[in-house]
Amino acid sequence: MHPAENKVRAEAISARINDAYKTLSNPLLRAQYLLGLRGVDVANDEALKVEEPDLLMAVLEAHEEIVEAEAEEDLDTPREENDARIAASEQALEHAFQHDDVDAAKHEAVRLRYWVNIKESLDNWEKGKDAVLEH
Amino acid sequence: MNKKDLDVGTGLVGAPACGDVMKLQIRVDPETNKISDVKFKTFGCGSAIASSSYLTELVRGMSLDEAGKVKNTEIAKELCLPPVKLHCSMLAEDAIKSAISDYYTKNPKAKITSLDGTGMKMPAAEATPAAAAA
Repeated sequence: MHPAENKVRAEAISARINDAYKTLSNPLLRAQYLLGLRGVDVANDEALKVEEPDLLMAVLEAHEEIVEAEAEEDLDTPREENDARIAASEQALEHAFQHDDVDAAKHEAVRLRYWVNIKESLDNWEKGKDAVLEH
Repeated sequence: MNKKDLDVGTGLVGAPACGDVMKLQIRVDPETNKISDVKFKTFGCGSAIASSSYLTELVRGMSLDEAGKVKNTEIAKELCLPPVKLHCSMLAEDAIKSAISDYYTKNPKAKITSLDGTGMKMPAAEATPAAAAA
């Protein structure tokens, strides 16, 4: 049997490792973490605003398309489009971090946040069900 | 609502932190400057949807002046939003301000509402630039 203090310590370390694994394996969380190291908080800054009407329009239209879908097949094209957006954003983030371009990384992390939400809507789609995101 | 209609103001805002997007449209009666109809479409968490829904009930029938003064705290209090969800009510406040701004941009002759202290810049309405400061 392990002494109690070792158990608490082991639990804390285990939680930390799980957290680290989750962050490293998820491009959005990874980008948010890397930005956090540079003093930019895109995950919790509530005063942050999106100054890109085109982005919001694209997001709104993508969500509308999902809500209006009649059958699972209707989502094939939106899903492909969104996967492409996610891939492009991940690539842009990779590039931005390689060149230590914090502004570009911040901008792209916000976009990726939106694409991930669209993906969540796509994955949670059920006929006739309203889209409510869990976060 | 058709966002091209002159009496319709459209606000489209987003919260980057959670990736929510909110569209709010107001139809304004040009005679009385009151909001005759209001619609929303929100993709986000339950709190964001509830905030925009409550906001539409709140501002229907209000004058643009009154609607421009709606505070997010009012929404948060009514819905008992927890601190982590306060930004949802802020998003709703931004949405109505953005819709009002849009209406004034399309109708520069209408009297400008003061949006002081909201942190949201009014787009300069060409015909009455001085009124924005009044």
